[in-house]
Amino acid sequence: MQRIRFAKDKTARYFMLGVAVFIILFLLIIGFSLFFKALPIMREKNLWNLLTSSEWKPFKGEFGFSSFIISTVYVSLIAIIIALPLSILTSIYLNSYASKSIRRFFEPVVDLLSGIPPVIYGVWGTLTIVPIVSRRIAPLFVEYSTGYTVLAGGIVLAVMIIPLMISIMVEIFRSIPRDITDASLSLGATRWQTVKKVILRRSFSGIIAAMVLALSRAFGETMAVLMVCGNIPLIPHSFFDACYPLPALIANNYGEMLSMPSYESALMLAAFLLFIIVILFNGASRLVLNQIEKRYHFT
Amino acid sequence: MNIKFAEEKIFKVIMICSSVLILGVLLYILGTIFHKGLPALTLDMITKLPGGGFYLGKEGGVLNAIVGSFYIIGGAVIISLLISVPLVMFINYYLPAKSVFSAIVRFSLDILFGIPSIVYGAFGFALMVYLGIKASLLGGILAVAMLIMPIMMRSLDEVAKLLSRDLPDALLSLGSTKYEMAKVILKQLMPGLITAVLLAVGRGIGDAATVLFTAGFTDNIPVSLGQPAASLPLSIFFQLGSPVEEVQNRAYASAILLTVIILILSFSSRFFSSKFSKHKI
Amino acid sequence: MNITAERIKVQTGDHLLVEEKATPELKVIPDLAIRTEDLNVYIENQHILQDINLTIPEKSITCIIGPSGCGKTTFLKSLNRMHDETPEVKTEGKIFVDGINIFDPGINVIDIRKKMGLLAQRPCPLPMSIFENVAYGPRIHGIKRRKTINQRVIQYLQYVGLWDEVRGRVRSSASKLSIGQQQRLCLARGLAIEPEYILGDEATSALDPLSTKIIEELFIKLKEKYTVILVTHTLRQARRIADYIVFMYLGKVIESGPTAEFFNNPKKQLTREYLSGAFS
Repeated sequence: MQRIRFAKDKTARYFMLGVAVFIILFLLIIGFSLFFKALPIMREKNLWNLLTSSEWKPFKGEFGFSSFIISTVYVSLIAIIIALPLSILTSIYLNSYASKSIRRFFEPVVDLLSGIPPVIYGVWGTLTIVPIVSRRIAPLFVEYSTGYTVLAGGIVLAVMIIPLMISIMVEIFRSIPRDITDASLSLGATRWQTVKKVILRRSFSGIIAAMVLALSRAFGETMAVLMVCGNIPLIPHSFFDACYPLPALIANNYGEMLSMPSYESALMLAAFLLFIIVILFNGASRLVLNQIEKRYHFT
Repeated sequence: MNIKFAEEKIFKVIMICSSVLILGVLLYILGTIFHKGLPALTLDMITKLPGGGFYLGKEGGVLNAIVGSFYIIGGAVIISLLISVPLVMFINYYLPAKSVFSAIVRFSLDILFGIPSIVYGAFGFALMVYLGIKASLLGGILAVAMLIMPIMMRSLDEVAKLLSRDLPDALLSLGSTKYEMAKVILKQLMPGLITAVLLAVGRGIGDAATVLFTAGFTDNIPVSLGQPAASLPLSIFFQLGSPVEEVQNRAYASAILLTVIILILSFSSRFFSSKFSKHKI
Repeated sequence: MNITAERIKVQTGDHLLVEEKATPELKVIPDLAIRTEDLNVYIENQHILQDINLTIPEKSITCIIGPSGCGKTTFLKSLNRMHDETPEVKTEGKIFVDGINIFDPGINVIDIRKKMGLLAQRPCPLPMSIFENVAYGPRIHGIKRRKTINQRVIQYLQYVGLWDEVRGRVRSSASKLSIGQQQRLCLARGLAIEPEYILGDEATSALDPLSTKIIEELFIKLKEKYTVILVTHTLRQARRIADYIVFMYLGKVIESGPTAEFFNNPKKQLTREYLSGAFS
């Protein structure tokens, strides 16, 4: 009887250890698989060429990724430019100014925004943002725009990453010890001065980390952007041009993948690129955020 | 002197505007979806399968997608639980508090958490090709499981970290094996586990990129793991692509269905996590 | 052959013996239930327990007193090898329980813990019903028959005086009990595994005076069958219920002896200072 007990205990322990090791290896497995699948096209063409050429004619064997990479960067940049100030402002408000009930009211708001599925954002984007861009914003700048543009993608993406940034920033602001803010206030500084000089200064690295995390989220967002960005494989020259970010490329063409092995390999390369970029950004910002948590962690 | 107060006032206004804007966007999104979709939301939509030509305007509903999504997420949750629960118990109660190994595991989790769903979809596809699985319910389950695992693990880990050491100590003092101790602790963590599952379901059920390559699509309900499965996000997407306006309206109605499911999940998980924090005091 | 009835000698390592009152003829040395030999414990390289050579007599209450941070709880946790769970803790030396060194490689820690019932400072009911709480121990140690389990549960709930209070609701959650009741439940739970030793780590410090009194009376009842070792931070409690006192300071045993002698005739300067309240 006792032997069964200890046998169960031992088995459980080995299983758990196995799972833990698996999780650590899982990352490597994903990376290697994608890399392996991308290898054929990297062998066929020069990697540098692949990354910098903007010729995308798969059926002619042309696989230039630069327009996709640039599209991804543009769309994400716009998203960050819109989202960052809004997130910081709202987070400061929630942390330093808002009453408890307003704060509690906002929690579900942020949760809901982050919970809305990407496809719904895409639907909303097509219904509202695209027409607004096409009819109200674009005419101020260019002759014509369908609305399926870099700008539309950026706006939709901005709304998607705002909840993420707010929740991280609020956590960071909250972790600054009260003594420091109290000291500033008791010296006669206004709340705003305290925010500027104390909170923001101390949270600077955290805010950067949150931004990097949100950026990596923006790079990888597929569905919502796909529905509003236009999906034309050309380098966008203005915000009112259509674009074609990397995730959209992969998503739109998976059907074609099966027809040509080099097409499949090209798309896997796109996935691998995305994977590497996201890991680097994620890893770096997580390290920073972990440091901050360690420094100020109280519980 | 007045400058510092004026500056504060200005920024306060800007901040409030920013917050109101964000709230407004949420309401705008929900409002748009409901406004466009409600007229097209009929009982048929929920209870019927798409008939032939559904995407061109003929009769039917999205039952295939509703059931398909539930099958996929159900299978994914089971697989994910089998891996998440042991992992979280291990790093919290088997490994010492400051172990390097648990730090590495947690860091890996953080990175896995941030991988975009399209990458999981692409990897899932590569995996399926390697294993010889075609686009099917099984493929969808595997891909979604990979996506939701880090979410479930992190949520459960947060809850496990908060649990006081009194309970594990008391159990071990009674002469329990670690496994026996873990079983009792899991009982205590149950509300947290439920929250983690709800959170993971919320993310997984709405995601299109994972199922795009891996689950296929069909107008029927799969009866075995090898058959393709429809999913709500893809169904919405395909209906939206139709030239027929009526079909597009049905897309909005399907969007309402998905949104309502998400709202229910979101509120339930808030409910459970508050229930858990009541215990902790 | 005069032996004063209640005076029994306790030997401690390098300290002098407590003097006997009666004629020094037959010295009865009781069974030494626990004996430590050169016990040293290091937590993250801090020398927490230094050269502890202590004997604890059986079927009596031994209270370990001393200012906070002196190592009392660390000592207690060494007895049931709870430090095994924290790798930052290094233990050297031996602890003999019933003659066997608990750190022997052949010993299964579960058997040791089964012998020791630990009552912690904050009551920690398991997330189950009152019945299941008490039944938990016997169940994991192999008792399957429903009748035996029932008997044990009732027996120990009666023993701690809870049975009458809870008999109607043994299947309800244990968290609904008052804190004093919860602590008694934890005691019943610990007793249900039929240990030989009861360890208490400031077991009454979280309780109100009435519950404290009830638990203290239970300890006195317990010493008939078990060896009770309590860490307490109130001198008054030690004076009330202890048969033997061990005074620790900064990781060392300063003095020990039977209660009356310890309080009335402390040998060391440090002890005298502590007893007079010069530090706490």
